[in-house]
Amino acid sequence: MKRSLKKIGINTMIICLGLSMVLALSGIGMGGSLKLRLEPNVIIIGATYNGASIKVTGEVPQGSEAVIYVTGHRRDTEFKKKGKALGLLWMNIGTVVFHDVPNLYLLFTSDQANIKSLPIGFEALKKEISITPEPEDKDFLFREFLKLKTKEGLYSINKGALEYGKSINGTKPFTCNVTLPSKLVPGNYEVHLAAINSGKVIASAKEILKAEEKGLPNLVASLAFQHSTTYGVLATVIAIIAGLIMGIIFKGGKGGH
Amino acid sequence: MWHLYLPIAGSSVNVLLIFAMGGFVGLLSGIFGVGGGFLMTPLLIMVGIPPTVAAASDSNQIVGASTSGTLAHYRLGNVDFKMGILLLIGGVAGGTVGVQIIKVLRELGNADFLIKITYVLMLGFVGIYMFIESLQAMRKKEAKETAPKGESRYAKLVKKLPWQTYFEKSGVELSILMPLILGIFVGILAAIMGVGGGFIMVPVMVYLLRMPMHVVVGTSLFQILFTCVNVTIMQAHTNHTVDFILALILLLGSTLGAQFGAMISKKLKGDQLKILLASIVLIVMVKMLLSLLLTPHIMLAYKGGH
Repeated sequence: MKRSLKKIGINTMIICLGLSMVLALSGIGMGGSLKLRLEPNVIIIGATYNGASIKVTGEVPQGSEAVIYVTGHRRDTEFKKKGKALGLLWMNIGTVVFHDVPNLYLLFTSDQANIKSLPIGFEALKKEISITPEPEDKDFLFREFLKLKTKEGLYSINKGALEYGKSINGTKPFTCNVTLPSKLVPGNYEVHLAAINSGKVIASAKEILKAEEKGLPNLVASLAFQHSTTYGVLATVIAIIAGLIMGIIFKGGKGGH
Repeated sequence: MWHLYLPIAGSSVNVLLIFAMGGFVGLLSGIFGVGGGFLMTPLLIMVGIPPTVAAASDSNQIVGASTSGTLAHYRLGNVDFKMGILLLIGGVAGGTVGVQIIKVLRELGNADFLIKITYVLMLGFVGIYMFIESLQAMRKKEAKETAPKGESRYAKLVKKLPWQTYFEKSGVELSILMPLILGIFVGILAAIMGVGGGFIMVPVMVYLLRMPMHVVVGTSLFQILFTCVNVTIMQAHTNHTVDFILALILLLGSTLGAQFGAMISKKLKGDQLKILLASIVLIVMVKMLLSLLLTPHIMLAYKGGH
């Protein structure tokens, strides 16, 4: 009886230990005090959309640092690789496919946060993205890929963009202004919060940010994709009419010609 | 404040900048009778429009600009419809052949290399030839030589061809085979190079069809109008790359520019027009050559552009 009780105790201990490890690995172990809010959580892409700013607020456990990163949906992307032809002329010398490329990757931290060795940031992304055909120079290609994405404003690391408030009851509140680029396609984006401590992610949370097309952009996009031939004909007819109108206006103004 | 979101390009642009770009290219289009695709597409890519969307939306705006330009030139009596339609028929046939050629080239690999080299050589040849010829003509204008030396053998050959007909507007007598064959030739080149072909068509009309420069400009615009209607509908249908909002802003600028262009064109002499067009063609050629020789800033580019 005593032995079996002891056995149950050991089993319970193992289960508890296992559970706590699973919880810790899944990032919600110490996340009881983790809070994440987006204001607003829907971005309207209307006719005059030129980038947007959202206010991200929340709380992380005292003693940890908050890291915010926004990612878009992933898909394979084809690129032309440039190289020298005939040893003289710069040309596109081949195609490479980057797999599972997020269409947006924006990271925001405070001045103090150190994201090296974390599964977050460009270094981590390099490990997540595979390239075919397998290149000898993955580091070089990834660097060029980052240059392209950064130039477009779709990828960025923003240090010092996150500020903390006064810690209360073992939690540390933060505020972060996330600026979204003007080159944003409609869809769902994930806003992640990671609480980091001693080079490890100790807790994480996620919220969905929606980007929706409304008004004229929505009308044009749906027409272009759902009724493409009508759209093409309409586009040429309107262009011809506009050309004729301009011609007539000018005739009125410059009758001498 | 002056920004507008383009749903197909998936990006926001400054309306005034796009309008100004349209105006500038429209002006050139009105003066020289070229569609301006070889200038506008690189400009749009520079402001962040994806290459495929830039090329397709540009052909949409050329529809409007060439309508306006054709109308202006028609009023000035500068459109040879008979010649234009024959060139157009040849151009469509040549374009179809060209698309097949480019398909084969892509399968063989290194098509990009051939396209760019063709571009640089064509631009260089056309630009230098026009430049030198117009310069000589301007110098000799007082001598009034009626029989150019190169005409004899070429003219004899042209006169031997069957179905000779008189083109009233252009004031030339030619076989209808001439515009048809030359149209096919330009169509093939244009399809390979991925452009409307205006800058090849204009020298072809001037030097091979011996049409007067002012009629060349109007007729070229008339022909470009139809080519671009076809390209716009095809692109919208198969690739969904026509951004109508972008095209409309460009269009407002370019139709305005094209009207001014037609007026300037009327005031300039034929040789002055040729020498100006030759200079622009040469500038584009040098820019393209530099892009081939200088190390690029980024060694990757999205697939789908030229």
